[in-house]
Amino acid sequence: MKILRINMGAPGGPKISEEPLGPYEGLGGRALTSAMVAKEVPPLCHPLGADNKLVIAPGLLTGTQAATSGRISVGCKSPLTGGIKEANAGGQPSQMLAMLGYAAIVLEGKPKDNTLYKVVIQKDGVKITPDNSLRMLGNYDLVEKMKKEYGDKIGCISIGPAGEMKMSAASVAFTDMELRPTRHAGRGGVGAVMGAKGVKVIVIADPGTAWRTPKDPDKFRKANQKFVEGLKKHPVTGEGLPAYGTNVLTNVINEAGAYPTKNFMWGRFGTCQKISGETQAQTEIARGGLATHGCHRGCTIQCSGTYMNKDGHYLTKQPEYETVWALGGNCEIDDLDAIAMLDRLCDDYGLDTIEMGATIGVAMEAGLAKFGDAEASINLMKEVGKGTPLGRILGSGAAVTGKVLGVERVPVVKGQALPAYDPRGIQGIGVTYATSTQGADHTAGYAVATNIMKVGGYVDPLKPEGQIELSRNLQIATAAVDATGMCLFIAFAVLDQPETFQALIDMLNAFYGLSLTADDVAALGKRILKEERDFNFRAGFTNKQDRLPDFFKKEPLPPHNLTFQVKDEDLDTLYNW
Amino acid sequence: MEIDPGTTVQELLHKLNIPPEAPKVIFLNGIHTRGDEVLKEGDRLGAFPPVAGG
Repeated sequence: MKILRINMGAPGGPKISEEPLGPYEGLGGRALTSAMVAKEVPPLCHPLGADNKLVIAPGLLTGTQAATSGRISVGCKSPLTGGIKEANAGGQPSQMLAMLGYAAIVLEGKPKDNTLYKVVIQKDGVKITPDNSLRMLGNYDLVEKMKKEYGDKIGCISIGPAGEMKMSAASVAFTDMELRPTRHAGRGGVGAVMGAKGVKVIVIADPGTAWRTPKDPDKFRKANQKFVEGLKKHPVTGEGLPAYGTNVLTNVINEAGAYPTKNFMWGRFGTCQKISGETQAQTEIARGGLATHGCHRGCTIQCSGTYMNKDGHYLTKQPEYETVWALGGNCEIDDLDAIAMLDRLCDDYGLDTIEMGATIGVAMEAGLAKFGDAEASINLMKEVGKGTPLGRILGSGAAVTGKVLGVERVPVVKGQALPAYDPRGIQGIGVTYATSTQGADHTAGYAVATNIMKVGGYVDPLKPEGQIELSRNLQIATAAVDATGMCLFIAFAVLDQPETFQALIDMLNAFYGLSLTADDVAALGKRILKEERDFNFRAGFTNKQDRLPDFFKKEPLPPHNLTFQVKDEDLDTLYNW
Repeated sequence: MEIDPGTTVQELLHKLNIPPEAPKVIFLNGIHTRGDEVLKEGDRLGAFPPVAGG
């Protein structure tokens, strides 16, 4: 495996080089992006400056026949949080890059002017060419254009107008199986960093077709078989997620009283059934869309779908639970069609749906629009796409918007918006939001599984006891999973079924000829977290940033009327292992 | 819905033909239940199969 580096600031124009993994041998996904950022990016650099790097890395098992291994990590110093970032996405490019032998693509340096570039990866080499005709294209039009130029067997990694305008909520888009730009490394403004490097799109024009070969193919095949059996057998990965997708959670989290409603004022949304996963799946099927669909080839979970408009034409991929909440319940919007349109706009402009939903919630609280006004919300989103002064403020995320508009209730940690679980109703996820190296991020340590769904044991969601240990263990495990290229949803099966966890370890061992144990996997997770936290401290963070916003400690959340109960001094023990 | 006084969570689920092993999580007024609580006027009950997401 090799690293592709493109120095955008080289004298005479962008310079391409390839090198072996070298000091990064044995790393992939988040382990690789975080190691490279920690080692090569000066922590005090400006995120949009020459010294920051954008690292795009498939996982250790990506490009192999391992099921559900097509995730990709995008790392950099985040313009949103000012700390280290790993944003994770599905889609096709991860498998394609890994099959071509790329462990990472690194964009570095700063271009001399604002020329926009296109990177094309072909069998006979990598080319980078200026192409200003792509300027301000939405991701959908951009991919259509690339399809015309390079055919339909390609994969695209791209930014929309938001990334070009270097907005802190900008995402990096990855195309899916239908060559649509629907899979996003959403969080932390990674799209703004790609924009700052002047790269509009990376086209994988000649995708590899041969799987990477394991050291021990027989052992690998058997382990993969066992792994797939485990995913099929577990009710969450085998039934719930395929049938209803992630949005199956709307009714569950609402019932638990932890569904953040009206910018985190209430824990229940009265009309949430109208936007639930069950209603969404029915709507999709009735309109000729799909309710069960994968984000990449080789996924056995198939949690996605396709959402058609009222006329039966494709509008967007199945909006995720987080999206439906952020742009729906959080803004008191209960119109699935409007939410799907907002999802489409976010994918097209290249924006993080969680950050944008939280931002619009804050804007509504400031009176910029009425809560529940879907049309106003769509118009605000269009301002972002156009890059009007208001749009640029909103595209900078909830923290900036709250400051500009004078709002106190701004749900962010380290500048990054909270996802779809109120930490007063699910205390364990509050610990993850507060302490994660990433800013508020549910995927960093998904305590909701254990607090609410009783996956991986049970810890009472309404009490502070046990939450630190729960979040710590999940954060360690997640960091390791994020290194493999595996979808995090495998965790539901892995947490409950020891033999499925063992099958994952067996796959790594069979592929690389190693003899890792569960302890070694945990050690990898710990190493990643320590490296990330060390970067953040060198960037100026202290434990004082490992806190939720003050209002979570002061305003009780109905219906349970609780505040966030975990003490600051306990949060400070999360990294003591 | 109307139920007989003294009905427990489990008894109500049984009455609704929900097999005892089907729901993985059951909330009574937003709190996980054991199942043996006696229901009272105005209670809110939610039963869900094993699901998760994120």
